[in-house]
Amino acid sequence: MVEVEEVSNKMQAQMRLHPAAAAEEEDADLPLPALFDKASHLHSLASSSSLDQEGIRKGVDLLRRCDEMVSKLGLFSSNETKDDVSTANLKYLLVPYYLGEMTERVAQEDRIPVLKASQDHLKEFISICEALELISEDELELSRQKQPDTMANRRAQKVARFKRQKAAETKLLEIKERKERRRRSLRAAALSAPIEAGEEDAFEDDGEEEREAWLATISLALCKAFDLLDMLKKEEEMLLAVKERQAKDGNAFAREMLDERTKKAEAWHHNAANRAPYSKPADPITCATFAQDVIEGRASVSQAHEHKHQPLIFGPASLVGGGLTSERERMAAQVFQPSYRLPTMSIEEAGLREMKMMEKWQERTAKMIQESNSAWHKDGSRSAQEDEDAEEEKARAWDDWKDDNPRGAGNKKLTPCG
Amino acid sequence: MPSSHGDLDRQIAQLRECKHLAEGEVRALCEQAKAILMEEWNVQPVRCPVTVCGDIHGQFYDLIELFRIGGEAPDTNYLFMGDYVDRGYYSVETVSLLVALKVRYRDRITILRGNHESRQITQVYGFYDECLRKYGNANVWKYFTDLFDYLPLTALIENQVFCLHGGLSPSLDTLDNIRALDRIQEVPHEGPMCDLLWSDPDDRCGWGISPRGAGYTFGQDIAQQFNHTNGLSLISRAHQLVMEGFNWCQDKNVVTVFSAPNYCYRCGNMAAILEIGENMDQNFLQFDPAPRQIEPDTTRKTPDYFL
Repeated sequence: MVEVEEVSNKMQAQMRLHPAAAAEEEDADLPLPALFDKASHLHSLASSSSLDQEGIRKGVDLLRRCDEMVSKLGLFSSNETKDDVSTANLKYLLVPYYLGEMTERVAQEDRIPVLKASQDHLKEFISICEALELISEDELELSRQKQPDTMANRRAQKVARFKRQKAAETKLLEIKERKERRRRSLRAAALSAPIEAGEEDAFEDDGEEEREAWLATISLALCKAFDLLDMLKKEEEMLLAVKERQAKDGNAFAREMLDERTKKAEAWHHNAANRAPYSKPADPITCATFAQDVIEGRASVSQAHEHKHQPLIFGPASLVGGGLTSERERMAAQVFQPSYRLPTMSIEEAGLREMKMMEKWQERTAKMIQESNSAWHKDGSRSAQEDEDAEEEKARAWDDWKDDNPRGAGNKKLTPCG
Repeated sequence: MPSSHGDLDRQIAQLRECKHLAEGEVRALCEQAKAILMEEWNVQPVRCPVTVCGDIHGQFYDLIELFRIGGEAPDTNYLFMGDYVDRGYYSVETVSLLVALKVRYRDRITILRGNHESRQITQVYGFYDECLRKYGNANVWKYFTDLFDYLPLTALIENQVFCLHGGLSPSLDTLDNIRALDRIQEVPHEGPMCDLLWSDPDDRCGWGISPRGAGYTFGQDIAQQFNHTNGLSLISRAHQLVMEGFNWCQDKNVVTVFSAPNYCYRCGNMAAILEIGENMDQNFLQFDPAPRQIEPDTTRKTPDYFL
């Protein structure tokens, strides 16, 4: 630890001479540990995506300076193993990883350089870890073997990585909990017992534990780095492909893609419409589709009454119109069901029903009138005199009513014409 | 505003060709119509001469035929007694044209509310489906059904001829009663407003239960009393299919006018309109269905759920 500070002080002296670094406000004087703390704080903020672009750029800048210092100090060397690295220095292994992750988050017009830089940092991180024998055997094996890139292999690799990641996470959590517990019991002990008891013990324990914690963190970072590297690789390939096409056809690319889609959709409808006149008119499913068939000339109005109400099959005309030859097509058509209630009879059926209702009504009335007439005819006892009396009484009642209700009395609140 | 009229005239010309308006145009049109209809009365006064028409029910080409027989708007004044939508294949174009004409010539055309100018009924009898089919969504249906709430319920020609869609209500003895109704709402399932749009005349005296499940049947005595109390000579109404297009009943106290020929493209009935002249003289014009013109509609909208 002391050694590091010494060297980093030297570094700062050097950097102060450097004009670009000197321009960098207060941070310029910070020793490596403080710089790293600051940068890793920004990194954790960035991972929870609560950091804006400015913060990310600052983080990248700080990490770059950490990286520079680490390499100048020669903290890690390829002929060492992890056991040769002191606990205090272990965390600086993470610098390229943090740098890779943060760089990837930088937003800029052309993403390809960002992807490249990020991948370089991640690869650097992985190669250092490899040199220090920090990478688990099976992960190394997988990447070294150059196994055929089959689905099964990729899946196995993913599962193994996920397991390692889980293990590292659990371990970190465990260490954190243990620490917390001990701090609490220490505080309790400090209150009740003399101080000497076990203070050194705790310190020693702490050192071992810290090492363990950093190793777990690195192993977790490795898992993430491998995943991220894969993802970035894929993204780069994709962007390059797009760029290539764009270079070839200029701006027409996006346009072309849209046109292609439109053309496909149009062809789909067109084919369906073309097929429709040859095939027999689609069974009218509801009055709505029948109406459409009439409008588009596939059916004529006069056919209307022939149509029975069919089991409802909606969907693209190509599926509904062109005989559903297979169960699969029928089922596909059934997927496209409208969201609203469907008519239960055709327009013509409804009209006929209404007409029947009217006819019935009129028939009933006619019958009633006939009955009353015939009764009047049969009933010879009822004389013309009586009938006249009844008429007169009715007229009198109507006159009386009119006396009580003057004509036009109900229409007083006249309103002006529009 | 000549520019807005120009726009409206273009829309009317487009609609006359049976091409429906864009969704945004319908919204703007309905907003304008709402402002106009809000000013109208429950018993909207109308001057003669005027031509009274019954149900249209989305039979667009027959509406065009009606204008051909009765004279083009605005050269002829028109009074429509409701039921513009449902049943026929062109409810959207029919109601759009009538509303556009109303906005353009507000004093020359009166449009009343029928029992089909309602959210519930249009969801069952076709207008809703048609809006979805033609626009790919239900917005246009919503604009129109919101507008329907503002339509006047009845009209009164020169204080003599009372026009409405259905018929009388046992809870409304006078025109003044009707004027007091709060009409800006969805047609209720029962009550006076519902009755005006749902009732039918009957040969039996007094009030009867309607076989339609809404409104009542009313006898000649009821119509006679109503006409006397309100100083009317005639109740003109629509709502019922009549084979000749018009039908006198109740000792000429009530007349039914039905303006959808070959109703539902099936019933074989004639249609009619009632011309009321400058001296309140009445003349019925009957007409047959228009020679059907079916043009393939190539601009069919694909509903969103196909994409």
